[in-house]
Amino acid sequence: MKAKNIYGENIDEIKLGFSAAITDGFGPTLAIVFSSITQDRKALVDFFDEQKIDVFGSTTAGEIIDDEVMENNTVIMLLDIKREYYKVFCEASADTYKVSGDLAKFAKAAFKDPSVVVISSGLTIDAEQIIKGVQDYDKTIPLFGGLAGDDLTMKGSYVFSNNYESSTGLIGLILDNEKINVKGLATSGWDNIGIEKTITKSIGNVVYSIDDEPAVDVFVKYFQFTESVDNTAEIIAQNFAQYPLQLTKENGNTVLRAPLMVDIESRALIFAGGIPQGSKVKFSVQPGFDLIEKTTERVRALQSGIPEADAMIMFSCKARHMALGPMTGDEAGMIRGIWDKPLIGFFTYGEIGTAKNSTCDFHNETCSMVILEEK
Amino acid sequence: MFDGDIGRKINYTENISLTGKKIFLEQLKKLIQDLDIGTEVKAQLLEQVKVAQKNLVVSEFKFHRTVIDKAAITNVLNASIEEIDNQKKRIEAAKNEINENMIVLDNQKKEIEEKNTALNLVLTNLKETQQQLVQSEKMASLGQLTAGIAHEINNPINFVSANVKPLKEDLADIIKCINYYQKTVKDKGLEKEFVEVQKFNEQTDIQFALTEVEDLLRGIEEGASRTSEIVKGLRNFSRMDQHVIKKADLNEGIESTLTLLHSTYRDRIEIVKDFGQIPEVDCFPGQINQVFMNLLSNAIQAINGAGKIFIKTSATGNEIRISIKDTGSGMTEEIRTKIFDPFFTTKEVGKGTGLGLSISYGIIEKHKGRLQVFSEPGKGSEFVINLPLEQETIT
Repeated sequence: MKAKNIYGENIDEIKLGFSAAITDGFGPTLAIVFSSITQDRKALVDFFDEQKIDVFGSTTAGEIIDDEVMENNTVIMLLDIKREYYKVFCEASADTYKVSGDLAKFAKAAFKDPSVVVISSGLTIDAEQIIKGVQDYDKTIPLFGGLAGDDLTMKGSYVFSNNYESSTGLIGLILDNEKINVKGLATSGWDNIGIEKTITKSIGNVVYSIDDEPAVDVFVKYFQFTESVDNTAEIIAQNFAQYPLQLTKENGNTVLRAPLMVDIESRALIFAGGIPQGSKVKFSVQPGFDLIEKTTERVRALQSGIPEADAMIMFSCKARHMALGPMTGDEAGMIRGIWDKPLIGFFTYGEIGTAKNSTCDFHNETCSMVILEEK
Repeated sequence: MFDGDIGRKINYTENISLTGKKIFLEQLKKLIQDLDIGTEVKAQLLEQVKVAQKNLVVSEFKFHRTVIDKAAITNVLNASIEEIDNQKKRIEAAKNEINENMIVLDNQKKEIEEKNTALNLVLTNLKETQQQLVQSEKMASLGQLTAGIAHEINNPINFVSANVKPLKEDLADIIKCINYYQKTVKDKGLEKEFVEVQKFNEQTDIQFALTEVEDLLRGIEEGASRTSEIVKGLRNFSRMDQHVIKKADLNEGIESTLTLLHSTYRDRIEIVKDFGQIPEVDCFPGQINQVFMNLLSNAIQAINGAGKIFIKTSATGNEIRISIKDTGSGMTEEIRTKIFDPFFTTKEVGKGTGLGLSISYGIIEKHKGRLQVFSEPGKGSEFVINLPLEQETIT
């Protein structure tokens, strides 16, 4: 399996990049497309339709290609993977749990031993229901992925494929493990600080109070560094998202939950994942800029199971981007350097993956890597 | 103290040093572009400037990020320290409250223990009183029975006692008469005529019979006298005055008790009496006799085989002192401390109720007196009763 990356600020640049990529006879069958919401997705999909290339696409909150970080661009990984080695599942439904179960059923019907890379809308879907839906159907299916972004406008994020686009649904790339070696790891590196706090009121991913104090007030007290705060996602991202809550779930997994939006009226914070009422949480911060080296070393551990990768997909949290800034590109570059093969990715509103000594879960502030190698 | 505004005091204006470097790199870039050098060299130089500019951006970001994170961490840690301090204060307050509650609980516990002790005492007293009542009732019944028997025996024995003396006189007259007959026969030389009578006398051994009759009469007289003493003792012991305070001669009470117990100590125990001239004492005589009975019975039972019981009475000031001391086996300290406890007994099962000394103690206490015991193993025991001469009231 061969992979080539192309990118562009518009469809014309994409077409140019594509033409350059196929000059050596490279014949891609699948395009992994991560695109800013400012991009013309219809033109993109139409182009790949013309090329008879399957699209596995998502909108982003910033794009990653090899060792570069971009904004308002489209990055594409072209793969010449045999069509019988993969399937693309698309379905939009308000019932995330059910549609995720359908995804797992589809995957098991397609391959005896499948892996699933899933991307869903980042604003309307409870990602934990994706994991639950898949695992309730079959716990053995390896699951990786992320939540689509919308450049922090918080208006709508999309997943798309050929003849499919949804701001409420999901898209799955199902890979045959008998043909494609798929490995993944979710790694954060954030350290908790301060004393334990209690979520005294929450419904799903909306947290109303922490230690009986309005959630917004708590975050404003500690993390508002701009002159004023208003109800915009950008302010949240700039002020709060880098200080996620660390939560130990009932299943024993420790996950981070970053605030995505604020509801000024109810003084509530809307997080990128559920936080049950009564949970014990701690604030967390990135420990320092050597975090990038630590993340790289953790991903390097996958090399023993997949020594010669063909391609890499990176789902990196937007809040991580805010925290690491221009060094995010360095992180991507260092990870890419492990296998020295094409890497594509985007900044997400949440990541799905398995952390070290843990089970598959929904994360924030995490870099969830998927490494592919044709057997 | 935590300052919620600390983070907002961060100066977001660009670091002067970094800004200067930025301007310098821009100027350097322009300078290189204007230089008349080879394209390749120019490109290399411009690439190096680009790398330097990127590094500068990274440095700038790290600077801002570090300042912000430092402020965030400071805010969280200060708040945490404040919260820990508050928690510490709350714990301290809770600890103080617990300590205060513990003191209250401790006092309540002591109060309960005291009440419990008092209740136990009341319970014990009630039990003792109950036993005393039962014993008193038994004694009253026994007294009635004894009094009845004494009364019934008293009349017949009076007949015996009254008739013995004239019977003795009549017998002496008969003996005199027989002796006169014998003297007359001898003096008148009528032996031949009275040969048959003489033979009969010899056959019947009339002299022995007469001597034996005298002995038998003395026996009857002594028996009647002793029976009278016993009856007197019974009557004295069983005085039907247990609920009325009366003047009583305690020496007489002891004597009566000894009379009743005579069969249990005669032939093996010597009673050494040292009765003083003591005035009569205000008391319930029947109950006091019961005490004597208990103490003397115990003393007798404590002597295995031969021994002595010393009984001494004396008057000192307003008190009568009665000491009953035996040469019996004595008792250990452990036993001595328990002998007045109800139901405590060293006797075999079924041979003692364990109530005698307890009841005696209660009786003496009721009379506002004291009952003490002095004893050592192998050296016998001494019970000392001190009783006031007069009683105001006894409940």
